[in-house]
Amino acid sequence: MKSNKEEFESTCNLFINSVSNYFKHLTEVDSKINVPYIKETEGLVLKDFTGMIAISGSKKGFVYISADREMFEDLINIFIGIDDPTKADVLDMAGEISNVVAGNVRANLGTNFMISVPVVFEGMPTEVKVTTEVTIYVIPLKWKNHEAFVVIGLQ
Amino acid sequence: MEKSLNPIELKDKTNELPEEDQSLPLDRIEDQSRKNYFARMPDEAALNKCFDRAFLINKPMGSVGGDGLWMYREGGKIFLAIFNCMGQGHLASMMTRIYANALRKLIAEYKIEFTGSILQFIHREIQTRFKDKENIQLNTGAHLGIIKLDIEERAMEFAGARMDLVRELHGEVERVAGDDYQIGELTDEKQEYASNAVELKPGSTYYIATDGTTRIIGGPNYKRFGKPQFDEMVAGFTDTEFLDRKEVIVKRLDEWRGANTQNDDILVVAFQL
Repeated sequence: MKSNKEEFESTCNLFINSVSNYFKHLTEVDSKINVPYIKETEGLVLKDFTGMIAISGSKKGFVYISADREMFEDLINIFIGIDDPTKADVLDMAGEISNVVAGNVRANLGTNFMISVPVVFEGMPTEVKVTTEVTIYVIPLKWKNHEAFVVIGLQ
Repeated sequence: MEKSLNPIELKDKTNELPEEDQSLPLDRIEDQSRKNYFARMPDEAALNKCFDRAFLINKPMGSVGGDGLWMYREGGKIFLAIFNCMGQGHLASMMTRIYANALRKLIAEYKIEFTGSILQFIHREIQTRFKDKENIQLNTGAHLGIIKLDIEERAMEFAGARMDLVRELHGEVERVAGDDYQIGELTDEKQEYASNAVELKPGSTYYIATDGTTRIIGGPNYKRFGKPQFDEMVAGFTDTEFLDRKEVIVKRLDEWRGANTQNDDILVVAFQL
């Protein structure tokens, strides 16, 4: 039987694989995953736009993908062929990528791993803070010349 | 007492919330993509400014969807388009903006008025926009129904690309069928759409619904809700107040779906003149 630590790492690895596959298969450009770390200070690691998904069921927590506008614009250009995306397009792209990545993890973990629809926002919403009960795992990644974060918070 | 199992809490309000309210903390963050999705489409208030009475049901599968509507009024002419972009979720939601922009360009700027011509031009507009794009990850096609109402002339016209206009009068239901092919696909097939004159009969109620409405799976035999059942439902509305019909439709569709997951975006517009 896996320890809590092993289980946490195994879940994080699923997210790493899911996000890697997303870029590799859908954009045909590999992403580079940098050394993940556990965030010990308060506050969230956020870039310009974020798609956040709540996790419930067998595990409780959240996952989000956050990146600068330019990365989402690049993805929109590849996926939809829009050269001049609006902010609304960028928000939709942030929602799309977080939904696909979390959905693929769910496919691996089964029906007890439940995910919400993504909540998409710009900047840092003032409504939330993260409690100390959560272990936050930050996975920095680089795709093309863009930096993004996949952040997993699990209890 | 056990600590809350919620990883994200509301700042300064955590202790005010009962435990069950804390189980979905993301509900408290405004989803800006959802806000955009609904904000850019006419709502019931806007519809009611153009029609005597109207209601709208818009239930995307997720937070946003590929169904949309667009409306434009110039002088005594009103254009109302309902469209169902292929796929679901955020990518399809982006396509709804592309279709709305194409409608605005062709109707408000280029002043194209025949509904069948509008569909043809939109088809070409979408084809032109996407024909050189490689590896795009979404289907550019859509089902679309458009009406033009000329208030001064008391005339209405409808064209549909895999979408019908349903008219109910005194329990009798008539479908003005759209053409049987969608618009915006990147094939070379020539597509033409008919402009159908619709006789305005006093007391009629008109409905346009995306196919997610009739594709709902459920019922006793796990089947689609289907067009015949939709028509039967609206035919039974003769004694139902107009505004109550919205609730009846929502309830009936929910009952048909039962415990099954919603399998497509749903959008219904109803109006009376």
